[in-house]
Amino acid sequence: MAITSYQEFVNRAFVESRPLSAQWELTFKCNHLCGFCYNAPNGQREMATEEIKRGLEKIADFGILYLTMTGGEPMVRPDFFEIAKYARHLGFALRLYTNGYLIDDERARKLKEIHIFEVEISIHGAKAETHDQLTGIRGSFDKVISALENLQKYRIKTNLKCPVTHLNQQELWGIWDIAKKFETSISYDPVITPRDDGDKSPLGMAATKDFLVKFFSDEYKELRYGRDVAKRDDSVVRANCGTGRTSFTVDPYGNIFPCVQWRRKWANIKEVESLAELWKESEVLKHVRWAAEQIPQTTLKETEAGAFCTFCPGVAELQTGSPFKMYPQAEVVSEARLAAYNAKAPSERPAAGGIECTGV
Amino acid sequence: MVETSAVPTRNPASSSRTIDGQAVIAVSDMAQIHILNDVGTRVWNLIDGTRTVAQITDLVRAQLTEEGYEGVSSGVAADVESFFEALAAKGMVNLGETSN
Repeated sequence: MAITSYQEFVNRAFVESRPLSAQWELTFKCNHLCGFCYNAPNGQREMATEEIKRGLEKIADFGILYLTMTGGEPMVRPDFFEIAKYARHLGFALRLYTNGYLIDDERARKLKEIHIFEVEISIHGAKAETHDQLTGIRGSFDKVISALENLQKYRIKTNLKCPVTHLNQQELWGIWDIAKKFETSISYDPVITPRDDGDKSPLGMAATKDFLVKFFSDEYKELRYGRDVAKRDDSVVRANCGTGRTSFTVDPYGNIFPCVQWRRKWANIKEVESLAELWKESEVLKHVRWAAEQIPQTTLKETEAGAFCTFCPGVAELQTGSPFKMYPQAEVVSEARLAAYNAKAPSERPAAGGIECTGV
Repeated sequence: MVETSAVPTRNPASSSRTIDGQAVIAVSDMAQIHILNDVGTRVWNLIDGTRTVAQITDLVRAQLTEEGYEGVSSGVAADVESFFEALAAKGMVNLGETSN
C-alpha cells in the first residue's frame, strides 16, 4: 500500500500523453504595463462567471488535478474568489500566477482559506525603480514586497519568477536575497518571447548575450540551485516538451491551446462536449505531439548548441512561421549554455539531464 | 496505533484525482504531492468522513475478494491500519474522531 514516486508518475503521463494540469487565463486585463508581456487581447468578450464554472466542471470531469489561474492579472476579476472557491469545490489543486499587486492581508487570508496550493509572483528587479520601470506602475515593487509579507504570514507556498531582461540582469543576486528573506523559491527565465499576435517588440528587452554566458557559468550556479548546465536527455520521453501531452491552456474567450505558448486552437471550452474524446482525436493535438517528437531529431541536431536548447515550437512558429525553425532567442540561450558547458573540464561536465518544459 | 472505530477525514487542504487507478494527492499545507498504489487508492477513495477504519477495511476486503484476489483476508486489517498511520503522519488524513 505504498506511496510511490511522483517523478515516475509524471514521466509516464508524459509518455502516454495523459494531462495532469491546465492553465486558465481568466482575463487579459491587467493592472501592469509590462513591455515584455506576451498577451495579445483581441477585443472579444471574456467569459462570464457562470461560463467559467461550466468550463471548470468539464475540466474536472476530464480528470485534471492542477489548475493554474493566470492572466493578464487574474485577481483583477471581481469574481476571482468566487471562481477560485468553485474550483476548489471541484477538487482542483489551485495555483495562482499573479503580479502580487492586489494581495493584501485580506486576500492572502482568503487564499489560505481556500487552501491554495501555491502562488507564483513575478518580480522584475531588486530595486523599486527597476521593477517599477519594467511594470510601468509606480509603487508596484512595494506591492510585491507587501504581498510576500502577507503570503509568508499565512504560510502560503510562494515562488518568485523573474523574466531576465537587460534592465534587471545586474540585480539577480538582489532578487535572490529577497527570495531568501521571504523563504520562497525563485526561477529566472532568460527567454523573452514575442506577443501572441506576433509583435516582436518585447524582444528588445532581452538580456545581453554576454550576460547570458555569465548567467550559465559557475558564477551564477547558486541562482540555479546548484544545477550545472547539462545536455538535453531525450532518451526517456523522446519529445521536445510537454505541449499537447500533459497540460493545456484556456484563454479568456474559452479557446483551448496545446500549451501557453503554442496558440493553435484545438477546441473552445464553451462548445466542447467531451474533452477526453477530443484530447485523443484532435488533429491539432496529434500534429503538435508529432512535431514535438521530431524536434530533438531534426532542429536540435543541426548545431552543437542544439543539445543545450530549450526550444519552444510555439515561439518558433510565431516568430518564423515554422515550429521547426530555430529562432534567435533560443539560439542565443543555447549558445550561452554551450559556452558554459565547454568552459568546464571534461571530467566536470554533468550527465545529460531531463527537459525543462514538461508543462506539469 | 490506529483505533478501528476512528472516522478518518481527508485533510481539507488536499486535492486528489484518480488517474489510471492511482490516486494523485496534493496537500497544500504541506506543499506535498503523493501517489498511491491500487489498494491505497481504494482506501483513499473510501474516506468520506462517515466510515470508520473498520468499515473501510471491510469494504476493501470485500472488493479484493470479489475481484478474485486470494488470501487477502488475513492481512488486510493490519495493512489498512498501518496505511492510515502513514497517511496521518504525512498530514493527509485526520484520525481524531471516533464512532461509538
